[in-house]
Amino acid sequence: MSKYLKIKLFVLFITICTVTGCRQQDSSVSAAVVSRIAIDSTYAEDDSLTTYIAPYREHVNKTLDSALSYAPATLTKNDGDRNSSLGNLMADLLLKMSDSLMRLQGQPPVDIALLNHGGIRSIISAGPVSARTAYELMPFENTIVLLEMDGAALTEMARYLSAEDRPTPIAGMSLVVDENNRILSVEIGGRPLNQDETYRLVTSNFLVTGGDGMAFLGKARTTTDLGYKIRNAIIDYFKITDTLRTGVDDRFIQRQKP
Amino acid sequence: MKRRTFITRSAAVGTGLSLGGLALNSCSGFGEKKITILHTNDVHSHIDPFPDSHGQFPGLGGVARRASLIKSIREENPNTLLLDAGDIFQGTPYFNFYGGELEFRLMNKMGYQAATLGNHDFDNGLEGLLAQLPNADFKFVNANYDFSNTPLDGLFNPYEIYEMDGIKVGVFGLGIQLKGLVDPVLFGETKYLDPVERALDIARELREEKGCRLVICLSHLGYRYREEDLMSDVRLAQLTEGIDLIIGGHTHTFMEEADLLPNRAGNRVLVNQVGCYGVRLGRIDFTFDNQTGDAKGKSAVISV
Repeated sequence: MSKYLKIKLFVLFITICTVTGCRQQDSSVSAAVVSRIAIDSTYAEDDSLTTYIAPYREHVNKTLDSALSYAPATLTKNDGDRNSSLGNLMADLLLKMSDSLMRLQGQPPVDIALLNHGGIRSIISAGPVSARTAYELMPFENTIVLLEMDGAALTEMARYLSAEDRPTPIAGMSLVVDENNRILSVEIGGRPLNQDETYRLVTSNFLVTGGDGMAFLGKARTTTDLGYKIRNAIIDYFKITDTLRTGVDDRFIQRQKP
Repeated sequence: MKRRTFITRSAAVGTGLSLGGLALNSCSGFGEKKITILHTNDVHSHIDPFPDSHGQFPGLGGVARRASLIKSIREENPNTLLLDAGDIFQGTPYFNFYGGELEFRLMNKMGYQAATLGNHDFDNGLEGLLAQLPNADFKFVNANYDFSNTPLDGLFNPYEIYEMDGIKVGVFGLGIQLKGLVDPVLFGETKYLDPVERALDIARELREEKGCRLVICLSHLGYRYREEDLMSDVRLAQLTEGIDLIIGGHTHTFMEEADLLPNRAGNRVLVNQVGCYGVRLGRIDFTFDNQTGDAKGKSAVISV
């Protein structure tokens, strides 16, 4: 019933036909009434559409909710000071999946993976892990970008990481800072960072295009979008990983005063 | 819920106003005609209603409900035009699974007549959009993307004209600058044309050459920006003439009132936008005098 509509009328304007004795105005529109209708449960569903949507919905839900992997414990991005269980998992899988792709294409291996704390949009709850989990972690369509970076740019990256007060997800790089956040050591793949070497780093296109102020990414020698969505990398990793074994480790630690 | 009480209370006011409108207009006689414009924007693949536990839009939205609402409005007034201002794609797994097919098919079933392109409608690239176009029975209108060097060449008209009860309504579309917003790989050789120039040309053509009494711009430029020089619906309204109504999108603006802005000729333009995700439907009822009127070169809406 229309009288019952959740309508708010908020504009009504009428040419003043009383003044001109109902004669034609310049305009041919004599009134416009604007309303907006909140679509809520007072409107019955159109059965034909509900029926039409149902098989699509079932397929989507079935696919999204079927278990791909298993988390023995709840993983979050805030359970460590300088690195976290979920941040480590995300960076590790980004490195692993990009590296597999590169090897498949006959290209050199990937050394480092970098994400941002804010880009991880959810936790992983203990229990079965599905594609829906991947959508929750990564609702955006961000893709993986491969950057070739020299030692100087990576030194800048280490400085950025040490200055961040929230743990930034990294893999392939390990970092030790002192109690004043001064860098004590930077290692790539277990070897000290070599200023003369070029390293291959993967990250999100969001960060390469300026997200989170990671200016050092702009100093890359080359930048290649792999066209591989981060969410798809997560799903692919879940598919090949029976149990998500991860935790806070020593890839980035801060030495305390003796 | 706050929202609910607010809306219910204002419903009473609405009824009063519309009765008042009828009474005031009754002097224009029995020949007057009514055209209803219904609109959505930034639905972003939202097909199912939000769950009752949702933080922002509890229990709102849903295509099957929108369909029955639209049907009831059409029964009330068959001279209804149903439009969308872009960003149909992207936002739920339905899009990731089916690439927009379901969104288009449901829009067909609801009887959408025209839509314009939003930036997210390029999320699967030009090829991804091209692949879905056969699923849309409605028209896409865009006047400021030049697709001539792309696979979409020749597939979109700048405008469409709908004749209802003898009244011609022109609907044209404007898109946002894609550079800096969409990965260049996705929009390829698409060229961006100045929306103000295009709007002026098209509005004049629709009004003077095609005899449209109502000119509607479906815009995905965004309502307005702090950076004054960024093109927006508000700026477009002020810098052009010949447009009666701008139906906006992109900025997900839940307007509590439509704007009524002076255009460059001193006539007034309505600007409206209904947020996002299909949680609201916009409705504008235009009443036309029984005489033809001289619509040439003037905005039909309001010359007070």
